[in-house]
Amino acid sequence: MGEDADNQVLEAEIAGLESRLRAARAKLPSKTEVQSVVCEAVASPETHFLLLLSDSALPLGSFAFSSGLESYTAHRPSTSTPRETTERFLRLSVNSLSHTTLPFVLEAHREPKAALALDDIFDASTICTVARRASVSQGRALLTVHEKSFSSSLPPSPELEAYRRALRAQNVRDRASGHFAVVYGVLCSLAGIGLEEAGYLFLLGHVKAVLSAAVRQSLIGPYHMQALLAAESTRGIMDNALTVAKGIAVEDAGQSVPTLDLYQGRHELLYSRVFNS
Amino acid sequence: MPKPPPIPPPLTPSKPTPLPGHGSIYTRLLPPSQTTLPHLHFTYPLKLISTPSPPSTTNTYQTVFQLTYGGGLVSNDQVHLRIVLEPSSKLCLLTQGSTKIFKQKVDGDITRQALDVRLCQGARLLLLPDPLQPFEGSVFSQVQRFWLEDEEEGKRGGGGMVVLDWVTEGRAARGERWGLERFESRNEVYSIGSTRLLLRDALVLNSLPSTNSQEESLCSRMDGLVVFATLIIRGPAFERLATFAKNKFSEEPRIGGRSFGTYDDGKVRGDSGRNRRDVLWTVSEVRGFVLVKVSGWVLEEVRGFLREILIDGGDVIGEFGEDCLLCLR
Repeated sequence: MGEDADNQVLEAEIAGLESRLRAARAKLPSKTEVQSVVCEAVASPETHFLLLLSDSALPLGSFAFSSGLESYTAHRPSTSTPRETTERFLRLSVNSLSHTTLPFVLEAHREPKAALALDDIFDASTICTVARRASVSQGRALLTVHEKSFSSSLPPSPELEAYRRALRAQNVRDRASGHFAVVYGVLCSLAGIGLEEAGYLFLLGHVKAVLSAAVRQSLIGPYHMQALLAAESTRGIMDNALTVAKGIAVEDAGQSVPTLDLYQGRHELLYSRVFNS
Repeated sequence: MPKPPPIPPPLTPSKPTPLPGHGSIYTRLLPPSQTTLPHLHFTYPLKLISTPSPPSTTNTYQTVFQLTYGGGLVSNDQVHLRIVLEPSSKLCLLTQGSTKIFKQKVDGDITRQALDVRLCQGARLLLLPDPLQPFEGSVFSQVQRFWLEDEEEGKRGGGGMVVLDWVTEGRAARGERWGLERFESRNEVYSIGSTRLLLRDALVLNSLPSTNSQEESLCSRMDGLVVFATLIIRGPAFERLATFAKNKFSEEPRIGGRSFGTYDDGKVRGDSGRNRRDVLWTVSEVRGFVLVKVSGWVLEEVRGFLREILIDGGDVIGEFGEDCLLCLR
C-alpha cells in the first residue's frame, strides 16, 4: 500500500514537471525551430569531414610545396604576364595530376585494403625526386593527423593502422613510404566521403596549394587567387581531370606533361628557393 | 585491386610462334668469358641481325640490331620481342636509324611494340636504340618490361642494365611538331623472385580533343622541346656511370632568379673543355635506379649530351666498346 502511494506521488510530480517543461518550451517556439534546422545541417559527418579535409588549417604543410611552380617560372623566360603564367601552369599541373596521381587517390578509395600495395606501386611509378619528397611528407603528415586528431571520431581503421606500422617496418621490402595520394584516398573512404567527392577534394587541395604558392611568389594577388578558385574555367579543368582519372587504372598511369618532371626535377638547382618543391 | 604482375619470358626458348612480328633472343655465356647466341628467332615485320663483338675483345658480348622493314612501323604493326640473358651473358641491343611510326590508317588500330627481357644473375644489358619518331596522326603504344634476378635475397651477381628510351617530335623537316595522335611508352622493371614492381617510368602523350576547349595543343604544351629522353641505369656493373650522372647533376650551375641560364659562380667545370650542352636535364635516384631525363630544343644537343654522359661515365664503353654508341653519333 505504502509503495503504491509513493509511486502515485512520484507520478504526479513527474506529470507536473513535464507540463511545466512544455509550458516553458512553448514560450520559446522560434528558438527551438532554429535549433533543429542547425542540427540538420551538421548532421552529416561526411560533409563535416569534407570541410575539415578541405581546410587550409589542416597541418599537412601543403603550402611548403609549389608543385613545381617555382622552378617553372625560373626556367621559362617571361613571355607572358604573371597571371597567364599562373593560369597556364595550373592547367598543365592539373592535367599531369589527373594522369599520374589522381588515379591512385581513387583506387585507394575504392580498395582501402590494397593501400600498402598501392603505396608500393606509387613509389615505383613516381620518378621525380622532388615530387616524391612532397608526396611522402604530406602523406605522413596526413597519417599523423588521422592518428592524433581524427581517429577518436572515426570508425577504427585497420588499414590506416597497418599503414602507419608499415612506415617503420624493419624489412626494407615491406616498408611503406606513406604517399599522399594513397593515404588521402583511404582516409576519405573511412570518413564516408564518396569516390567523386574524394577526387574532387584532392584536386581542390592541389589547386589551392598551387595558387597559394603563386600568391606568395607575387605572381597573382590574393583577390585574383579567389577569382581563379571561383572561376568556372577552373571548375571545368577539375571536372575534366576527374573524368580522365576515373578512366585510368593505376597500372596505366603515366606522365602526360613531361616538361613538368623536368622543371620540377630541377627545383634543387634553384639558387634561392621559397618552397620545398 | 592492382592487377597481378605479368609473366617473364621462360628460361628455355618455347617453340617459335608463326605470329607476325614476334622474335626471341637467348644469350649464353661460354666460360670463361664468351657470350654466344644459342637462339635467335624472328618473323616479319620484325628483323634481327646479330654480330659478335670484335675479335680483340676479351670479355665478349653479342650485338643485335632490331630492324623493321622500311625503317618503321606502319599502322597496326605488332612487334613483340622476348629476350633472355642467361647468367653473366652480355647483350647490346641497337637499332639502325630512328623507328618511324606511321599514321594510323583505320580507326581503333594501335601500333604496338613490346619487349620482355629477363636478366639472370650477373647478366648485363645495354639497350641503346635510336629515338622513336611518331609521325602526325600516329597511335603508338610501347611496353618494355625487364625482370631482374639479381634482386633476390643474397644474390648480387654484378649484373645490370642501361636502357635508353627516347621520342622525338616527328618529321620536323615537314613541319610536324608533336602531331601524333597518341603515344605511350612504359618501362617497367620487376624482381623475378618477389614479382614486385621495382620501377615504372611511363610517358603518355595525348592529342585527342578533350571536352575542355581551353586545353592547349600537345605541341604547345611541349614548350618548344623537340625530344624527351630517359636513361635508366641499374646494377653494380654500371655503378660508375650512375655515380657520374649524379655528380654531374649536382655540379650543374645554380639557376638564379628568373633569368634561366645565368650562373652565380665562375667555377671551372669538369667537362674537359667542352662547351656546355644546351639541354634541360635532371637526375633522380629511385629505389636503386638512377634515371637521367634529358630534353632539349635541338636533337643533336641531346644526342651529344647523352653520348658524353655514356663516354665519361666509363662503364658502358668498358663493357661494350665505343661501337655501341651508334645511335648517338
